[in-house]
Amino acid sequence: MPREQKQQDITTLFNQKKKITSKYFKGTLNENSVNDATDLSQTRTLKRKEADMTLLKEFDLNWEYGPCTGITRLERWERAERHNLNPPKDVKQLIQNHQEDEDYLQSLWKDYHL
Amino acid sequence: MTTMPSREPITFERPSCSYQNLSSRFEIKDGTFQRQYAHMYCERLLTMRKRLEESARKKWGTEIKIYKLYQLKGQERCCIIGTYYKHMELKPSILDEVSEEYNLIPQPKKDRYTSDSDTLILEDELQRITLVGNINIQTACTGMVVAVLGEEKENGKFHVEDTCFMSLQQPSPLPALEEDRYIFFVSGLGLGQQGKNLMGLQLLVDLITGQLGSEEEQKKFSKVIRIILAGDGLSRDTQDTSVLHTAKYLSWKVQATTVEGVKELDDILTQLVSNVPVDIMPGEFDPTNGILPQQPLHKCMFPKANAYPTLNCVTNPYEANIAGCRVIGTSGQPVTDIYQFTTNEDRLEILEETLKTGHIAPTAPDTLPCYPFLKEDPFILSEMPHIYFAGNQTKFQSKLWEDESGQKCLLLTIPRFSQTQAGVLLNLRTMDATAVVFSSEFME
Repeated sequence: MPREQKQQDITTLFNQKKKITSKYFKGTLNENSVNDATDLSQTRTLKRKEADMTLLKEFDLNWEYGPCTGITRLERWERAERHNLNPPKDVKQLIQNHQEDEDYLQSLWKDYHL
Repeated sequence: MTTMPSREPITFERPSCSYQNLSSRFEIKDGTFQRQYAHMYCERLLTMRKRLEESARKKWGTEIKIYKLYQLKGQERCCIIGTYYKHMELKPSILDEVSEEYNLIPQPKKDRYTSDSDTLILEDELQRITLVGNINIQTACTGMVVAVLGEEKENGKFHVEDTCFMSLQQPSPLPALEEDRYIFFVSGLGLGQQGKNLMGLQLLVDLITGQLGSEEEQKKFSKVIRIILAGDGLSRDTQDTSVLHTAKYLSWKVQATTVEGVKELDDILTQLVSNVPVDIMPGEFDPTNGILPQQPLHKCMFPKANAYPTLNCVTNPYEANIAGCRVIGTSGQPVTDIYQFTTNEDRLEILEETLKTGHIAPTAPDTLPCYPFLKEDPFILSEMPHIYFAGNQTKFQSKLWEDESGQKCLLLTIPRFSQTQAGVLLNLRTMDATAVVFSSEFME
C-alpha cells in the first residue's frame, strides 16, 4: 500500500514573513519601524524621491527629445534645449540639485549596459 | 625645356597666402564608445529638419503641410521629413555572418551590393514608411535626410511626387586674386609597396620644388601655395597581417612594412615641406584610427619633415580656408562607400549628390564606420564650400556646380597616384583644374 506522501516543496519549507521594501530606501520598511518618530523624515524624503523619479521617468520616456539610453539626463536635456524642443526646466533643476545621486543623473535604463 | 639656359640664375619667390584650419569639429576629444549610434541619427535629423522645413516651404509654397509620420492621414497631399533607409537584400549583415543555424560561409566581398529588389524607406523619430513613385531608389543611399512631397495611398506606401534637399548657406564671396595661385592635390601615393618605382613621384617633387622644367614652368609652379595630400600615403600592402600568422622564429627579424613606408613618406615630405606648406590627410591604409573622422597622423612619424613648420598633419575629412577660399574634402572613403551601395557609375555624380543633400558622409554610421557622436554631426555641411574634393578615386574629374540661387562650388575627384601617376593642379584665380601626369616608362 502506497505510503502517504505529504506534499512538500521549497515554498512550504520556510516561514514566510512579509517584507515591505522600496528600492529607493535601503533596508526594510516594516510596520514596526513606521511607527517610530525618527523614521518619519525618512518616509517623507522617500515620497519626495518617488515623486521626483516619476517626473524624471516621464522626461526619459518622452519621444520628442530623442533616444534616452546611453547618455546622461543632462546631456539629453541640453540636446533638447539646443534644438528648441522646450524641455521642462524643473527636470534640469532636479538633476543639478542632486549631482551625487546616480538615480537622478542617469536614465531609467542605467543598469542595462549597452 | 628647349630654351638655352640663361647666364644669371633667375629666382622665383613663392608667395604666401592666408590659411586657417577649420577642422576642429573633426577632432575627437573624448573617446567614449559607450553610446549607440541612435544619438547620431537623432542629432542629424533634428539639425537638418529645421533647414529642410525652410527649403520645403520655399520650393512648394508656404501653405504646404509638413507632417510627422504619425500625423499622416491617407489621401492628403503633404510633405514629410525623415532619413532614408535603403533596404538591400545583398548588403552584408553581421547577423547573417554569426548566425549559427544557417551555417553559411561569409558573403564574398563584392564590388556592389545593389539589386533590383531594393526598397527605400523614410524614417523619422517614431515611424517609418516605404516610398514609391517619382523617386530614384537606385541612386539614393541610407542616411540622407530629405523632405518628400506626396501622399499616402491605401496600400500604406507613400507615393512621392517630388523631393527637396536642404539648401546650404551662402558662403562669403570669393576674393578676387590678381595673380595666379595654385593648390596642388595628390592622393594615393601608395608608398611602402615592394619593388615600386618611385620615378613618377620624384618627378612630381622636383617639378613643384622648381628643380625641373623651363623658366615658364618653374614660374608657374612657384605659384603653388599649398599641397594637399588627400590620403593613402601608404599602400594597401602595408596592411598585410600575414606576419602575425607565421611562427615567431621565422618572423623575428622582419620589420613591419609600415615602417619602411613611413620612412619613404618622410623622405618625400621633407623635400616638399622645405619649399611649400603641405597638408597631409590620413586615408584608408594609413597608420591612424580606421573610423571616420580619422585623426591626424602623428608628427613623430615624420622626424625629418617635422623640423619644418610647413608640415601640417590634418584630419580626414578636412576643412580649411586657403587664401579666402573655403576648401573641404575627404580621402574618398564616403564616395567609395556610396558607390558600393548605389548604381551610380560616376564618382563625381556621387560627390555632387552628397553636396546636394548637405552631408559629406550619409552612409556613416550604417556601412561606413564612424565615431558615435552626440553633441553634433560634424559631417553636415552648414555652408556651401568653394572647393569640395574627394581623394583616391579612379580618375580625375572636375565640375563647377551651381545651385538654384546661383552659388557655385567646384567639385573635384582626385585620382590615385599609384595607379594613374596624376595629380591635380587647381588655379584659385580662375577655378580651373587640370591634371598633371607624371608617367614614366622604363625599357625593360
